[in-house]
Amino acid sequence: MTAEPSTPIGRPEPAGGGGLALIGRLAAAPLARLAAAYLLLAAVFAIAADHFLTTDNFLNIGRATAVFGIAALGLTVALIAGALDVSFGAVMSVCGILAAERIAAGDGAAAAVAVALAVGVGLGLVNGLLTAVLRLDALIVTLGTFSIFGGWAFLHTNGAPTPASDDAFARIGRGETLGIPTPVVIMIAIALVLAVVLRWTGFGQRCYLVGDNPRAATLVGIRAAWVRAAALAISGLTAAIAGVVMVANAGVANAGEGERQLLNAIAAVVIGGTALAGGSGLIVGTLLGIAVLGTIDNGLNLLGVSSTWQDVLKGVIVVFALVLDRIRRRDA
Amino acid sequence: MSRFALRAARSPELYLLVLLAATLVWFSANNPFFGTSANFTGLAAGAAVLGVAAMGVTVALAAGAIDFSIAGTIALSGVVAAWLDTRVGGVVAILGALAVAVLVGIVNGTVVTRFGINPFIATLATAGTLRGLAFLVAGSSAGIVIEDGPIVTIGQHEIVGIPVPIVMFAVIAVLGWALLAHTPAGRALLAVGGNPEAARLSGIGVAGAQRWAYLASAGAAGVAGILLAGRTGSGLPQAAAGQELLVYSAVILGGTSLWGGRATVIGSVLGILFVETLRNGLVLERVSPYWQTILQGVFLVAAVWLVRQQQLGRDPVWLAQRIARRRRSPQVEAP
Repeated sequence: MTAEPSTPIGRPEPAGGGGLALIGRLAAAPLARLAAAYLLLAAVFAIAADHFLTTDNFLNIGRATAVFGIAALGLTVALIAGALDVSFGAVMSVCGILAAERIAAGDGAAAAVAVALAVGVGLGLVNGLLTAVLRLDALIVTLGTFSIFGGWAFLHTNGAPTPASDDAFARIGRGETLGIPTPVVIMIAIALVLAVVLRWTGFGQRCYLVGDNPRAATLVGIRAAWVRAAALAISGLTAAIAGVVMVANAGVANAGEGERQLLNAIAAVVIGGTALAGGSGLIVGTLLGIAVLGTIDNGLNLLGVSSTWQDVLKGVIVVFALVLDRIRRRDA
Repeated sequence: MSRFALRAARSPELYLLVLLAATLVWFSANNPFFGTSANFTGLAAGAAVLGVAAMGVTVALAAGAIDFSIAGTIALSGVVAAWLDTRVGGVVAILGALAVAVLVGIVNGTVVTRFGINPFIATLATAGTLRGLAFLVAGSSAGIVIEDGPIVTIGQHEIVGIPVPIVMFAVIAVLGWALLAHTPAGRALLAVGGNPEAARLSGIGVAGAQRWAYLASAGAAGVAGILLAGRTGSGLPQAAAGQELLVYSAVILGGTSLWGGRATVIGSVLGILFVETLRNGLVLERVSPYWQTILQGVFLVAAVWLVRQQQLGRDPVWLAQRIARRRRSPQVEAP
């Protein structure tokens, strides 16, 4: 998490420059500034709220952010490849409901998770195939499938909650691993895997290239549409994991529950510096974005701000962050 | 085929008209209540509310201004109208709600044009804020009841036997059509949406045009919010939740491009009538409302795909010509 910010666009930069250049580059890196902004935010809350600076509270922040955070990580990959996936919230709901139904049918936690993850990848591939075959923008396709998947979740459950009471399953959402909440461990593990995939695999490099310049990618023999489809499948997979964690934590699955994470997850990715146009972005950035949003929610909670006011402030803060980011880039 | 007939056969409005007629015939044949004038009046009045919002969206999309905060604006304007109505009276309430909508338009336009934030994300964020503000003003999710007065008159009364919302929808539609088709301002909006760089080089202020576009979509959403509050007799903070998707599906189905430069008010009117007819018919057939959500998504993707095909010149006329050519010379690729 420390050395990454030196390459703001996530591709290895040409070698050159000594230690001094490295420090200069670090200071100029957007992520270093985002980290500084985060520390400032944390400092404000630490002064204003008594219980902010405690281990328990930070574990709370982690627990509260894991659900949308996990979804945001896969979303980062899709966005880097130039595919803005807005259907992930509905995928979360669908997969959460299917997992809960397996639990209710007595199939056990492993089967429930397997079904949810398989369906998540499948729905992501549906997005990818529609984008590739119809040659449409991923935003349009996923806006459509957002309605279709989300509508199906309501239709299937008739709007009624599906209970998921199973000890092993509940541990995914409420248990602890090595003293850290399991959802946070899952989030960190996914972040590590995706960071490695993006940085050190051919697929990861192709994602950046396709997102940055699909024409150039096609000219060098990369099948842009299929790289995007694979990225959307990853986004579907993380949405499914997020849905499982969400349901395991709540002990019940509701249609429409995942859709509420839409703004949080997209905001985390965008605040983390991933370009909406595709072609640049880092998993570390998204982790920082998740931390910023989680800390804002947590801090406002500790200060006793009502949830309605939090909704109002959230939009304002996101727009403000985007404006700041824009000004920063214009200066650079 | 004459040139006019060819052009008519290639217009998206025609397909939509056929689709609308087919839907009307289908539901009339299947449900005895569907064809009654009471049902049609209710259907049209309901369509008018979203129709007004769709007019704003059409004008905004002409300039490529995507505004996903319209549902939030509808809710906030309705709640503000109701809140002011109980305190200072109906006329001030209407003006106040419109002022709030204008303010929303200015904020959206400024954020998008001055700072160059992606409009989809920017308006998604403001949508959350607007919805939250609507809940704050309303105080609770039960909303604010509106007593008889100007707002209820606008929402529920009739002018010469026609509900006021329908009259307002018609007036705004004509204004929108005239603006886009017959004024320099409308042409400027379309030019900016079609090719911002070319528009800039020919002396059109791109940012200014887009700011007007956001004003149009927020203003129309504000009017729709007041109409909705009048129709339901209350300002509900959860009003129109999720309906932005319905409005955008209808507008795109009508032939307006999501990426700017192509906008048709007539298409949007037909699009709104089509989706509302479908919804009304499905409700009468007791199809689960959740199916409508699913169909919305299907129509959105299908509509964008059809528009894309048309831009590539692959419309029914092209298809017919191709089939005719195949028939005339079946042996072309003989071995």
